[in-house]
Amino acid sequence: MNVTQIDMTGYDKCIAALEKIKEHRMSTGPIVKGEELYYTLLIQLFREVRQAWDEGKPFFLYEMSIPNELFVGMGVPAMEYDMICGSMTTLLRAHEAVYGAALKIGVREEICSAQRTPIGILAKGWFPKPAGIVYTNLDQCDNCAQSANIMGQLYDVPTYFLNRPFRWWSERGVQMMVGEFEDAVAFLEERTGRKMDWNKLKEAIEISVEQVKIIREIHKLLMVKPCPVRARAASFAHWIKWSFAGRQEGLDYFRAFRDEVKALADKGLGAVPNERFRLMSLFTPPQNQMKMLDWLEHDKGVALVSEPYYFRVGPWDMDPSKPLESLSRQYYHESYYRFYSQMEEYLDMIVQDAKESGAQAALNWFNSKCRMGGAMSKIVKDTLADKVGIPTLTVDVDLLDPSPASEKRTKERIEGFLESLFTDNVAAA
Amino acid sequence: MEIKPVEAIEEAMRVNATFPYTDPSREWKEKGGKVVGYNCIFIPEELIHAAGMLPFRITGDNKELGLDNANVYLYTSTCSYIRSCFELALGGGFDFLDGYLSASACEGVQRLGEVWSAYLKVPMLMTLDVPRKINQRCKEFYRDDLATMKTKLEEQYGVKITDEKLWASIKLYDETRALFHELYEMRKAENPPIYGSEVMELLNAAVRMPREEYNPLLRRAIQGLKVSGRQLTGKTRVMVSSSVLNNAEFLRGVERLGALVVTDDVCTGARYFWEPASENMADDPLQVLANRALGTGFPCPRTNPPVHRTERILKMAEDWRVNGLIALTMRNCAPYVLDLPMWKSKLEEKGISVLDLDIEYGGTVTGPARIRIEAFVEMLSMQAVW
Ligand code: SF4
Ligand code: SF4
Repeated sequence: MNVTQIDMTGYDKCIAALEKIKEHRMSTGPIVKGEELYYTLLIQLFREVRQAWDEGKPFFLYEMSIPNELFVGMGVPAMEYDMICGSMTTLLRAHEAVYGAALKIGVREEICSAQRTPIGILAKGWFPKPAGIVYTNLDQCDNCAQSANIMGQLYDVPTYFLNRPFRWWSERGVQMMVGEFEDAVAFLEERTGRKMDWNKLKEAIEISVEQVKIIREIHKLLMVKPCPVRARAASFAHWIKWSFAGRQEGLDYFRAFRDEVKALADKGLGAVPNERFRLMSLFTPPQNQMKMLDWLEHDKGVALVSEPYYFRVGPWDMDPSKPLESLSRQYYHESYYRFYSQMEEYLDMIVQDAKESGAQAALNWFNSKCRMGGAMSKIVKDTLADKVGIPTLTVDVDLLDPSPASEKRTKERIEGFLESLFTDNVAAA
Repeated sequence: MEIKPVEAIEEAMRVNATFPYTDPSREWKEKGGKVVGYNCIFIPEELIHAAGMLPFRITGDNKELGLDNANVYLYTSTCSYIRSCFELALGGGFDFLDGYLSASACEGVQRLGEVWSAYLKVPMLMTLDVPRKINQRCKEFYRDDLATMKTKLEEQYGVKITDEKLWASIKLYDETRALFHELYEMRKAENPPIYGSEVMELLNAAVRMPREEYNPLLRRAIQGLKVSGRQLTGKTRVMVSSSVLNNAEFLRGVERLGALVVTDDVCTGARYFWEPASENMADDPLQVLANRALGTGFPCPRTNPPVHRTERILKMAEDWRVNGLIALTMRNCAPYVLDLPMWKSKLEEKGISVLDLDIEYGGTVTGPARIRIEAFVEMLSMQAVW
């Protein structure tokens, strides 16, 4: 199952395509600073890894929820693989080829595309060979916990699995994760022949603390009436958060993003031209159909005023003097981890956010290959109805693979839901 | 040659025929005993047993069920094993349980516990935090969570689980493991005395009745087989691999097509008993249980690193001299789907063919599955001749 030949053509095409998109966006419309920075940083990351590969220097692939601060401390480039491989597949319009390659080695369609995509990309040999792959179980996602085993075997590179406890808020859980991080550092040191620069890691954590403070501000701004935050922004912010945690560029991005939405809010302006519906957005919209979010805003007047998965970070701040312990504890305070852990925690979080935001209804972007989400879709609906009194539309979508869910059908379902909301509102009035 | 029935195997079959509320569990309850359900081998039965209660493995039925009710709660992306368990539960099949212990073993097991506790009346006591990694740190962490589970059991039922009781339970369950090893050794013979489907009946009964009654039954089965003079013949020797399999009928179907099912890689089969606790000795019984569950003997597909599991499968296929392996891939069992590529080609490199078959929990050897298995068995039997 080993890949013998690396083909960088697709990788380079992605860089070129991103540059074109950025250029196009800047020339045709009023591109906001945050959005411009998003494209700039995405291109930068592609280039950093390309350069390391060209110069024969080590770089790493890592999974979402492995803290990027570790790589910053080591001074090595690193790429978060599920989101980046998703972008590559979309930019290259290579869904069929990528999923076909994954299927050929036995990774079937029922496996979440967030994990099938990197496997497919590596099976095609479209990614440079990293010094190692660092991955984890996100508490409980089976796919996340195992996909990198296949990736490691495909590229014949060592992997490090970081075990995350299920009840991670316990002191015992923190203690275990500190140990897991120590081993991760040892792995990185062994693979690079370098030592961790602990001062640099502390600095990275200081930067992350600032980033998180801004994310909290954005979370509050989201709830302002009219909502000053664009629906697309959440996905962008999520990607930057993971890829540029601990980096000044990431902090600059969040500052620009916050300043823009704050300026709008101060002027009493919304990001949606004619805000008619204020909805909660659960989990993550299909990343291959982001135009649907534009359609929601422009054609339907929907503002997503509650996005707990992306923005509801807990109140605690990391302590840079205890870097590994801080990274472990931070895990508890990250909003989206709750999705992967105890159902109760997740339900509490969304109830709180729904209440605070005053959302009229919820859209549950349900990734139909995700067992964590699937088993929760009914209880999410029941809980929001019982405890907040709002209806939920569960939309079957796929995170990255456009084939299972047609955009047309999804829009029809959302339209029907909005109509019923409108009728209910009129009736209530 | 006539294959004589073995009385103890028939007794196991009678127990299974009364599943879910099996006769022995009913008798246990009638005598005032408590029954605690669990549905993953990462929950040590010894802990429940040492609390003086009957550990009962929650599974689906021996046949494919309609899952319409469970689908509403768990959606079709949850594996059919988990949905089958819940379908039975929704119909009141597990109402006789006095408690339910869950584990963070995989997405399905975890979410089943949570949805169960939200919508059904059997009290869910706790979800055990089961690490996915085999190392000392994880074993110690797991041990500590077992200690929490022990306290929960003690508080809930007003019992005391002493070390002494735990050691006694470990000894009793190790006895079962040793007996199963003895039984599996017999299956290495050119003409083994027992069908794979019969072994499955014995395995199913083990987790549905009191162990004090079960061990003598298993011993009688082994003894009965020894004196039976049974010598089974088949066209080829196969191993069956899957995440979870309770359906003896499926194995019967494979055997009817002429294959001898001589061993397995299944969580309700060899993986259940493979690693004895006695090989993981420590001063503390909870640590022994943790070391066993996260041991390298025969790990579950969900466990990292995958190398130990790959080695075990290769070794087992060699030791039991199998010609082919039937990999039963249950849709939406991500741990298995993502593990299979890790060892499939390695087995094939050794000349052992692998049939990768999609199946739902409780499925039988009919339709396309039958055609594919039949062709596989024929292909293997030709190879055996060559
Ligand atoms: S969407 Fe679900 S299955 Fe996919 S990576 Fe996330 S938790 Fe795992
Ligand atoms: S069959 Fe697979 S997904 Fe289902 S409970 Fe077992 S390991 Fe989990």
